[in-house]
Amino acid sequence: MNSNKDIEILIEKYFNGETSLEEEKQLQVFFQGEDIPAELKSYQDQFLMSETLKKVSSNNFSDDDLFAKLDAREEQSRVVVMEPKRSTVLTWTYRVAAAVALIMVGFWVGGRFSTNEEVKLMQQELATLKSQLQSSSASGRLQAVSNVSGVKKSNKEMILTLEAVMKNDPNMHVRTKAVEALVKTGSKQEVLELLSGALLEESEPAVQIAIIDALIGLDESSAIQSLEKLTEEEGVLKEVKDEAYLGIFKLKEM
Amino acid sequence: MELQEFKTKVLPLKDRLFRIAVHLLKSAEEAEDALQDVMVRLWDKRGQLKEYRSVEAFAVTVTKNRCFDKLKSKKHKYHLDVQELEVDSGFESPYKRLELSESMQVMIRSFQELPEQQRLLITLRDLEGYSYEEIAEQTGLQVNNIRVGLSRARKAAREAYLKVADYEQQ
Repeated sequence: MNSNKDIEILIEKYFNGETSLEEEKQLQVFFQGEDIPAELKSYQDQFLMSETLKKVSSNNFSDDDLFAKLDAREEQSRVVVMEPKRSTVLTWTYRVAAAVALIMVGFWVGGRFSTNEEVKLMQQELATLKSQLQSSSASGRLQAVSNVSGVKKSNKEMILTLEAVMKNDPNMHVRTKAVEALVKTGSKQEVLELLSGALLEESEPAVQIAIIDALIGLDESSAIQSLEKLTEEEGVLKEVKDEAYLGIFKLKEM
Repeated sequence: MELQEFKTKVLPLKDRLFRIAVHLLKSAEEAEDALQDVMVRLWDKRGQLKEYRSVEAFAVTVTKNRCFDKLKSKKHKYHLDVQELEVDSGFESPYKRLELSESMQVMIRSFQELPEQQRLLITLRDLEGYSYEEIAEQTGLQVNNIRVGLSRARKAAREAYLKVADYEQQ
């Protein structure tokens, strides 16, 4: 039979790894037929094996189990998407450039952020200060003023609040604390003006002394004027005047 | 790739992947285990799947690697009785349900006794009908080496078969 010859050629090709998929299909179909010639019989099992082995299937693989597993995984970890590895010089250059850019952006954002952070902190502090100052007890107000931390950004409202406390609070300790808080909060020039003004209005010796000390601490020779004025005032305690003289002496020397 | 896409693109491959695993591992149970692992792995990598030219080729590669790893650790564990393991535990389970003629059993046994790389090639080509190019992508082998490997595997299987089956040699 002619076709047997063809089949034999195909078989040889098959064993040499030279058959196409189509030719392999042909062989399989041929051996599924009946009346396989005796001399080709020994090949039959091999060509039918594929079909047989394809029938093996899984009984126990459960999609539900799989999805349960996948769900569990989904929850415990988010997907990490990895780039395929390409380590050319160009990609590395990009990577380095990207890293530098990122760091710069980081600094920029960080800078902005911390400024914002500071302003926010200040506003919060001011709000607490104001609410605590409503307190009728001196100790409450004292606490409020002492809590003012030295945020180095001058804030007009904060300074006005402290000035009001320094000039108007009925309790001398609160006023003294406000002097200290002002020094921490305001700019030198602002504080100098405010303290000089307050010095002449203040009548309580302890507070006067606190203001004098603060003025000396500012290290500004323009404070001498107000100190001299104070020494000329009548009704100012001798001790306070002494403190003022001492201040004048110190500031002049500098 | 979201769950829906995974269900339509990856999950339908499971029968094929199972067959590849079962013929490599010679145990339905182990193949099921391996398939679960493979599916989980593919799910983990779903973000990456788009980058592969063929999801199927990637899935086959993952399956092949998983099975080879399993075989390696199994051999390592039982290296003293590999022979016994391959013959005994091998034949019974995955093919038990099929009603096979005696001579087909001999054929399958011959196939099972091939080295794993040869078994893989026969499974991919003769069972699953992948092209040489696809097999190259799945296995990382050169087309030429695939042809040579297949030729050897087919000849070796026949030889082993003829040793047992009794045909009158012409």
